[in-house]
Amino acid sequence: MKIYKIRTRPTRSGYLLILALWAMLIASINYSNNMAYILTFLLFSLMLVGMVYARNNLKGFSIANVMPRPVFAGERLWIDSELHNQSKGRRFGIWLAYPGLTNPEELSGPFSTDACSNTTVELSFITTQRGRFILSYIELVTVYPLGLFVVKGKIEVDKAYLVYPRPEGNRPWPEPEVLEVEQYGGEIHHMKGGDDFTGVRPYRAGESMHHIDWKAAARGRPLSIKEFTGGGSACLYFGWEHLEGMGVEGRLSQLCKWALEADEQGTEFGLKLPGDTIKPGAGSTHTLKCLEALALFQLQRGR
Amino acid sequence: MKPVKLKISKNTPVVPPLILSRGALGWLIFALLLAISWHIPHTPIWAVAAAPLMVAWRYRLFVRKQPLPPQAVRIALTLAAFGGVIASYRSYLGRDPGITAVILLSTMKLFELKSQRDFMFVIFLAYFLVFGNFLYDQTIQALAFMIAAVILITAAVLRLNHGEKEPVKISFLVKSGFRFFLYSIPFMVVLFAFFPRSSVPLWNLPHDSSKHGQVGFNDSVFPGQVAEVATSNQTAFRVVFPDNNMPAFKDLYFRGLVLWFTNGKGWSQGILSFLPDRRQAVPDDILIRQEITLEPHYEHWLFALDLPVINPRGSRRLPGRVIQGYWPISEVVTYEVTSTPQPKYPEPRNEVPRWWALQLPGDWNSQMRELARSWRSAATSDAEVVQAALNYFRSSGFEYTLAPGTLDPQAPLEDFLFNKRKGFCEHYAAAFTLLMRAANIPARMVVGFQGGEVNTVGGYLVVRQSDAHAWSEVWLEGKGWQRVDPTAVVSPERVEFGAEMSRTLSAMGRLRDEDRSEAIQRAMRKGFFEKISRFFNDHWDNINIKWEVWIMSYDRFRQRAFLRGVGLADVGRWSYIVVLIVIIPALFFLVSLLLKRQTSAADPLIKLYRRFYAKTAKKGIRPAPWEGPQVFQLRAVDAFPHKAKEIREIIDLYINLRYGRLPVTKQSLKQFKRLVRKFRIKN
Repeated sequence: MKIYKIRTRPTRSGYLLILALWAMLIASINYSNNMAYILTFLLFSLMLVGMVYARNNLKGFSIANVMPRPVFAGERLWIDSELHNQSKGRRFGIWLAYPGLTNPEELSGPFSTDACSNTTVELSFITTQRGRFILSYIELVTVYPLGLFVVKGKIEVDKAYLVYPRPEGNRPWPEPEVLEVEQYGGEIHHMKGGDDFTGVRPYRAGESMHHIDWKAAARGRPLSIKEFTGGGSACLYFGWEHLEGMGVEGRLSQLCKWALEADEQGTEFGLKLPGDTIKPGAGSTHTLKCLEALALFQLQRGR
Repeated sequence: MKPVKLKISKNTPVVPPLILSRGALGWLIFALLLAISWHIPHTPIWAVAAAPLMVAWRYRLFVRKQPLPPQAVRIALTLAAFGGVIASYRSYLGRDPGITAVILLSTMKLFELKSQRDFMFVIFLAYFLVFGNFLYDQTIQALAFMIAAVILITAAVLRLNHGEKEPVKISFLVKSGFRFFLYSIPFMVVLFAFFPRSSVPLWNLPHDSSKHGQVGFNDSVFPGQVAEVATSNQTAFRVVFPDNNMPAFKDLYFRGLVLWFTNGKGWSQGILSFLPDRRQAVPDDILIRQEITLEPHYEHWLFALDLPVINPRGSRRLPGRVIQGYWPISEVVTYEVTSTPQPKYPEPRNEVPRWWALQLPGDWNSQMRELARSWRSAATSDAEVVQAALNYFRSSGFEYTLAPGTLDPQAPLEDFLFNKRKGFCEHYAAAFTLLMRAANIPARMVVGFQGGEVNTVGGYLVVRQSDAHAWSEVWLEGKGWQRVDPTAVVSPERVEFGAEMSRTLSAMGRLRDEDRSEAIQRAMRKGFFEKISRFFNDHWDNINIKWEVWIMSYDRFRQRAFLRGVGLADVGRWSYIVVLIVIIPALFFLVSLLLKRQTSAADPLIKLYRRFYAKTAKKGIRPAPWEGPQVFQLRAVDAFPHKAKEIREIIDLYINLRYGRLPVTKQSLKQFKRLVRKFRIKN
């Protein structure tokens, strides 16, 4: 992903120097002072050389391995990437900007790179809303060497990143549901609490071999899984309907918070969203799956 | 799944924030103090002392991470600074107060470094101080300082924009600053040569009081007011004789001004200086061309060998064969003027009314009148009166000295002629002219320079302020205006050997003739060290005149000559602005090429590796930016199985050389080069 668009513009210091040079030129003409002319012209030339130099300062850059870390809305999103300097010159004073950056304090940097080398750089910005976004480009910004011109170059990255809903809300957890376990043979067990055996269900490819009901398998039955409830509470569902009277985002935030709390405690939980249900589970993969579902809720369709 | 795209604002005027590291602040302070240092001689002592104190305070606060003084303190300091400037100069306008104010302002600004622009503002003030230095000093030394200062100030800018918090090598910054300076020379030279010059100031030049009251040449003469003349060795002007026809030393009279009016105590130009004189040279005159490089003296007058017949360009001629520029000489100027020692057609007296050359003061001294009358009655012609006067000076015990003491302010010339009888050129010329007028011979006083010193290296004449001289001219019927130098009668060595010699002799007091000639011989003999110092002085002066002629006095006329030289003879004002537009972009392009080449001056190993993968790239296999050589090797071998061996060999060697498993020597590079060159992919 190479740099594709380099734009150069004078900084305010640059305009200030132009003004100063104009005044110096007037003074030189008035005094017909040749030494003054020399310095005026020298500074003007220095400015032009600085401009060419600043433009060249961004040439030969590319960015690879752009890796955004998922984040909750309102937090700072960190994006690691590798900045390649393919030119034969050392480069200094390189700053990174994300699209739409307006506050100079938000620039990441400065970075320096040696000739023909890679530098790991971090770009970051505050996220505001949940969803899946695309970082379309990263902008390199430099004012090196003279600070009179600011040169910007875009590098297209087109990297998707995910922002989870802001974990918020202080509602208590909903009561764990009575779990209806479908068992082989159509029997229904009503189980509540404890980490007891809850039943068996058909094996699905890819599941751990640990809980396969080997005895039943030995009797010639199809592979089935013995199910246990973990963490003390049974079949906890964080559901949309538990949050009557809240807005969409508020519900998502509360659900997100519950999910994080449950994950921290190691409690198995499931998620019930309108049109989407995630069965109870535990572990980071499960939590991430839930968070992704919350992040993308109502965003997959339509919008 | 359709992702949400962020809104992209197109114009983000974003400049990186200021990273004020210790190094950046240190460099800024260094650059500023460097620029200030050159102004110490003409800045009040309190300002010179305040600047480093303020700077040290600022640095201390930074190093100790202490808060800056509150705004009220800063405002108070700024007001105090301006108050100090006004108290010192009684004004806040003009060169000296302006420079002092900038010095103080720049140190105050150090306490307000919030953004990159604030930092750059201080930098520009430093550049401006370097610029201001040229209002005082335009010598080669000043240029050398300017170059050093520009390089170091630029290094400070580089240090800031480098953005590094850790120390950055000084040598790197200075080298980069120097490189920037080198790259900007071509533009600078082109702009300097081609930028249109005019000789008309845009507004009136401020009169520079410090230049007045210097010893040497003056536009009015008041003998007896000064007890002793200090001699200044400053160069007044330098004269090149392009035709190598420099007259004998005793004929080197450089005409400056003609003083017509006297009040009995002193002489001045009077109102005549505005009447023009339009006579031309005559073809059969002996012409002596001179190129005179004149140091600025902030007045209108120009100097030329007696008598100028062809004016310099851009000058006018006034009665008495006086030439003047249209504007005060505030810069070194070089002009060409042609003179003739013996004009074939003398200046007609009727160019000015007869009474102007015979004007006498009202309260006229009877003793001098008596003396003049006695000469008149004894003589049959005007020439005899002149001779009688010269004889009087020769035989009445007059003495040449630069320390004559003051004369009676009521009747200075009478006191000089009849009592003290000690004086220098002004006394003799003033008294002689007055006596001539009293004898009814039209006379006028001329001030200028006489003599000079030949620079043995450059073959030109250096005329110093100490060579200032005054003499007299009388109108003789049939001959016209004739130069009479009464000083030459009293002190022949003043005219024959120059002011230096007459000073040496007058220091010895009254001498008999034989002692006098012996003293002259002794003074002429130069010791070894004098010879050595003369040698260096001549060389240095020679460099200086080249500098002054080619750089400092490069003006409209020199520019025209230069343009003619490069084949742009008939370019008008507009057409060479076009040249500016064509040549500057061309040079700009050239420099950008230069810079490009510089960034691709490569490590030979990487260059060869590039050459290698350029070959695979032709078949569509090139390393991705993030792809290391090992991964690329796998891909390349896959793509070109029939070349697997060669590819492995090349990339393995590259990895070993690049990542230090094998030393990079000439031989190993050669081997690598051979492999790369041999590598070929056939269809």
